[in-house]
Amino acid sequence: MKVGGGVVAGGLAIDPEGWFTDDFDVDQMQEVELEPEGLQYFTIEQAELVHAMTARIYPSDENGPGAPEAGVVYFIDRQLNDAWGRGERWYMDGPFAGVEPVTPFVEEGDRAGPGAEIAFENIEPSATQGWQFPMAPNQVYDHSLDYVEEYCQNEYGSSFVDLDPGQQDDVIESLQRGEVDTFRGVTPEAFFRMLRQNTLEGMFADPMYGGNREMVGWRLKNFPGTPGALGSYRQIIDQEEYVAPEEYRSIADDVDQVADLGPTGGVDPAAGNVTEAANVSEENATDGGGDPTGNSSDGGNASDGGNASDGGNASDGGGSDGNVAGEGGGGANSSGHSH
Amino acid sequence: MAQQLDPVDVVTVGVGWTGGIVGKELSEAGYEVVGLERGGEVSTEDFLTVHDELGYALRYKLMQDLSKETITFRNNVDQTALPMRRYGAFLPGTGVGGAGVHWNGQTWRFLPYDFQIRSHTIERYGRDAIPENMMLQDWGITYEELEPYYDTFEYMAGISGAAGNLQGETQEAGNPYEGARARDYPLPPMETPPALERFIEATENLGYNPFMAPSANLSEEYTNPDGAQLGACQYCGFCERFGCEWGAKSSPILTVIPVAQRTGNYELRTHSNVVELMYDENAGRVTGVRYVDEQTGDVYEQPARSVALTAYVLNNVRLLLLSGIGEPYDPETGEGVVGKNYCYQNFQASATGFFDEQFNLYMGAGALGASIDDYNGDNFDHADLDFLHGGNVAISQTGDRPIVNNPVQEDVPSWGSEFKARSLENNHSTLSIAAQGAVMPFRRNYLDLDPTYTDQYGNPLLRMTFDWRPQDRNLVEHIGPQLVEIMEEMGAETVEGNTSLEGSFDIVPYQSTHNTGGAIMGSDPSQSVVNSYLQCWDAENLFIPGASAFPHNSGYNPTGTVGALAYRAAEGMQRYLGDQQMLVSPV
Repeated sequence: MKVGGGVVAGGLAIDPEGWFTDDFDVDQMQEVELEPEGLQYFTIEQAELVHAMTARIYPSDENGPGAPEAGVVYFIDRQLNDAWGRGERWYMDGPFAGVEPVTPFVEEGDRAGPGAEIAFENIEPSATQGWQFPMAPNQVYDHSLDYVEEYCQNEYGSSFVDLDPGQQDDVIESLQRGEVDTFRGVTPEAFFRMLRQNTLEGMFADPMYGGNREMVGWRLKNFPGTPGALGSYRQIIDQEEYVAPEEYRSIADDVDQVADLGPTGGVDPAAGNVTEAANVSEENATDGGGDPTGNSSDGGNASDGGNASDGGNASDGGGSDGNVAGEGGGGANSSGHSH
Repeated sequence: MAQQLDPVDVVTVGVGWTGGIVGKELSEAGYEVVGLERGGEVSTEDFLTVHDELGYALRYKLMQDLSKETITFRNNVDQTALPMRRYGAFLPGTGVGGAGVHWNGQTWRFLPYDFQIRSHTIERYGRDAIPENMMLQDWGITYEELEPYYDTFEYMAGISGAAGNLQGETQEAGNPYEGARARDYPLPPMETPPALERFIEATENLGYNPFMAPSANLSEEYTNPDGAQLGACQYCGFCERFGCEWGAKSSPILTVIPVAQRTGNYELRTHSNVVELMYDENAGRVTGVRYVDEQTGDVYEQPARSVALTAYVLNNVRLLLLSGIGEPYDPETGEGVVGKNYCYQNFQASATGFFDEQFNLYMGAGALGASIDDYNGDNFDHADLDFLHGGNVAISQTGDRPIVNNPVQEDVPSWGSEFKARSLENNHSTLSIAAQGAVMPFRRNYLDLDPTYTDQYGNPLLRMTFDWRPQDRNLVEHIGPQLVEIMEEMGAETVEGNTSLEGSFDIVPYQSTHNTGGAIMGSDPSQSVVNSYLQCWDAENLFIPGASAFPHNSGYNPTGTVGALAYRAAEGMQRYLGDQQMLVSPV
């Protein structure tokens, strides 16, 4: 890795003067095409609707490509087909407060403990108690997309995808404000927060998850992606000037690099000894640079069974402490800390 | 039918920092130790492809599976508690190493004031300074008594920092308010990037006493006294919620656990979920633990001469309640001890600055920070203030990972073209500072068992009842404006401050995994669960280290104190296994 002519361990080449020196032109990116065979969860009609909605949340505009080019719809499609979409790591046992015991959303046999005689259907959950809807994310999308279409038919006599951009924005704003009256079982604002969060995830998560094609989200932000397996900023952390990334790297690049390092990646796990690892990394520094264009949506192993919530109803995915912008709130960081 | 296993000397319930420390100390002393951990194993090489914000930070790869076990929550006793169905305010971990794998590494000592908070407050401000419903207690141990254990933890973990008080002599580079330390940190402070320099200069200009925060992200390579080798931090910006592929964030899997394993006296059993401590109430002892092998469903009973309850705060308290050990706390009568003094932290006092220049914020480390302690503890006069304690004020450069870092001003929409334009513009130009507000114990903030909701085995979930008090709101209103002033001095073009705490505690946005209390320490068995050796008053061979023992929560990250108390408990267990009696007489 070059730093002002010097070399340090790791894979990312950084030139303090550098700016998009990998010659990738984000403005040449095209919208992803929607094809039924490319979808894992959505129907083509659902995908077209999600594609249109995310295009308003993170638009293509004078500041560069947005959700349509990044392929956010494919990211969401894959997430909904995965453990997260099924809510596999959410607590989804009943009773659900404020929900009639017999509804399409509550499964038979939801187990309840000794206090189940309490009439939970009469309890109004407090917003401070978080997600209490009896739906996993994929159910939220299935139902909410229908409700959005129903609303657009009622209000405009048209599908969302055929509205003009101003009308589409009005619909999304109505969702955010909780004013879309066709919703049942989940609130419009809860769906909005999930959709907004998933849009940002699809813009900026590693390309292996199906969005952020060509690492376009990272290019927009001058975020280098991964600093490399055993990457390092140690030599430049105290540098006064802003150091723009010269190239961008995804986990697929790190996987390739690790494969080159051998079975333990140069780390002695028993001792936690990384001295050797550092050496190995330096040896590999020359081939550690990222492939600037080598990221198709299906590069690497898409998602990994990890899941559980994007931070509940009101936060930007829970965020790194110190960087928690309110999901749907639009506020800047309000709390900065770390544990 | 549970299968009976052969007895061992010591069992730890959980293998994170506390279970790892107890396991190492007791196995080194020649005792046969079994560490039971409900999760699986992770190791440094698992993290070679760790730079995955979605998987680790937002899909919680290293956290507890809530479908199996969660908590229920309500703000007050008049509400019905409902399950925490998805993650939000705090993130209990799982797996070998526990939260010590995915923590940020901020490693503090509490102030001498903290340990004698009640007597100090009465002495300085009078009895009326403590509101009637504030259950303020001394800890039954002083800072001076705990200092050697802090020292042991810091040298084991390889903490980087600058001493502020060496044997009573104030040191220029460190925190002048800290308690006296016998010797300096084992490693020098981390590097100081420009954003932190801004904070240091601004607070100096304003007459405060800034210093580099102590860190378990190691500033240099280090070999600890047990021979464990740790790497040097590379400032890659993937720390909190991630593991470290460089072995440069101190953790139990790099230090105490492998050292314990090398003794030949330590056995780690993963996927072993303890569901009950077997309690002989008449004898005042536990006889062992019952656990489920999560992979086979088989149930085992592991007898032990002594048990260390070393799970996360919330599970420590829940297992005591499920096992019938100690009297459950009743907020109406004030009687009982288990579940009492649940506390949290309050990060509302904060300021965000939008600058007209860019910082290298994609670089960073979990504990890369600068601090002032001028508004923490009783470091400032509270005579005319309507709250006690305060909070450490810090700027942290943890790495501005792109999904969650979209900073925009308050008047900017949260989506659409304007959001995109402003969040891109602000991306590397936004700094924030916050106070880590201490939370005092109150009569109706507590933990007990939920009457309705159950875990995967049908056992009641833990129920949390918690809300902010006027104390918390007043703290924010006092400290918040000072943070705005600091951010303005740092040179921000525009500053947005959070100077009030509105509404009830909300479990939805992430705030802090600094839950404390519920099995608190003290010198009076009618007011505490454990004594100063973390030995349970109602079961003399049961030791319960961890933040569950904190009688209140301070204005710092808890791990340094958790580590010190674990060494103290390990010493107590060794003495107990020799003497077989209570180590401290009740007062």
